[in-house]
Amino acid sequence: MRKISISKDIGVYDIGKVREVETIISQIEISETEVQINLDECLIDYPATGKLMDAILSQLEKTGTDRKVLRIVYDCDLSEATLLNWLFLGSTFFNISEKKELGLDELKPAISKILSEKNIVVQICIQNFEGVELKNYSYE
Amino acid sequence: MKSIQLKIWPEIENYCQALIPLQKIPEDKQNSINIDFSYAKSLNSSGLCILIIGLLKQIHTAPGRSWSIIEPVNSQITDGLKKLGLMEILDSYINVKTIFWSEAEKVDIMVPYSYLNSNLNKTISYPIYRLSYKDDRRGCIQAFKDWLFLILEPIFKTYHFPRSNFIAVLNELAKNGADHTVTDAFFGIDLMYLEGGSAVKLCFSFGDLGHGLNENVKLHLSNDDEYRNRSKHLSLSDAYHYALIPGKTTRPASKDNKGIGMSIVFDVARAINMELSVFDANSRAILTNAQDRTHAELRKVFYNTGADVGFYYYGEIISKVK
Repeated sequence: MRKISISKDIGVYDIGKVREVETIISQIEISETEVQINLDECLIDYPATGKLMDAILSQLEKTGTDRKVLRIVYDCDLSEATLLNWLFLGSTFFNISEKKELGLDELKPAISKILSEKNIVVQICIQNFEGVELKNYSYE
Repeated sequence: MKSIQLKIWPEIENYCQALIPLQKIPEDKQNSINIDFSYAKSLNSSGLCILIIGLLKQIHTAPGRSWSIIEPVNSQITDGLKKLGLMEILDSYINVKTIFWSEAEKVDIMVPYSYLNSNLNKTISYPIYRLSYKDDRRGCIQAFKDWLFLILEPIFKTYHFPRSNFIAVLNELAKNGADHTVTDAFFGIDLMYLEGGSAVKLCFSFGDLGHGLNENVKLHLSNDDEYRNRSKHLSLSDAYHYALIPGKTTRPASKDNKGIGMSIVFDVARAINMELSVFDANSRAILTNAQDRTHAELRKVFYNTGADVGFYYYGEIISKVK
């Protein structure tokens, strides 16, 4: 699995800044079918973070027809709905670019529909500052 | 004509100034006004930020008056008021007569003011940060975030301090402010070193010159068919409950506003063990004490202050050394 830590490997802490996200996107080339993006110590914000997620998912999609995995590691134990909205708000990949914050009952089916079409699994792992895993969500 | 003495409550610390509203200035008279700091005995940035917002709201209601400042007897407080930017901010709104400040003493927002606070803890207070939304909303909020990243770097390196998520909360408060007012917002932050430096406590306050969330929600709902009849009778907890419903925004037509701001504030603040209060109208709510966003939970965390205290956020977070 290819592992990328946005703060440690790329040195960016603010992925809510469109310019920073464009730099990250220009530096990441994904050819592997399994990728881990570590967002520890990063500031998430709309619309930049959604653009980053879209770019990573689009690259992953292009790696082929096999099953692909995007694992997102994050250090803030939010409710599942807030977490998904914050990461994917405004996503064109999931066809929710015009939507406001969604409830889980709408958001999960919207995400799963696209992921199953494209044979991608998204896993979100919440860990504390010591790296201990607290929660795990999976969507496909 | 006799001057009105606007006496400043002696403790200008933390949220104290939010609980003791300033004396109301009669709008129909033209008396000059003295802001009386004589017996101010303690000061920090979060306390001063709330006081400044209160003063500026008074200034808006009493334009064209002559304003003066009566200096504190305690010279350390005078020094702090200068270094935290009181005069510079007031001076940009009105011509204040004072002998204890000159243009040459303008503050640098990167330079903190260090002192022992009233509990004798080593404390670092940053000058009041002003966000001027009307010039460049997005640029102004980005500059605020960039400044926070820089000033919080030493704490981030030494303590288990969730810097990015702490800034995420403030970022959302700033964006909410920018969505609902074209006036300025103000932010004060203090870093207190506890137990000889084995822990650090951050206190902050944030507020703007707008109406506050309660008024904004009520105003918005008065135009909403579903809520029109109820909007006049909404309690504060009803208004906050509405703001915390996923996707609810008082700016439904905005492409930038996705209605997630208050969800982020609530969820992230709780996740990082921040204690976040909001002072609005006649109440204080310790938002982060609510276990979830249900109306029943929110009602539990609202406390009556007995007077209209304005609109401010006040937060605290403690981090241990690495």
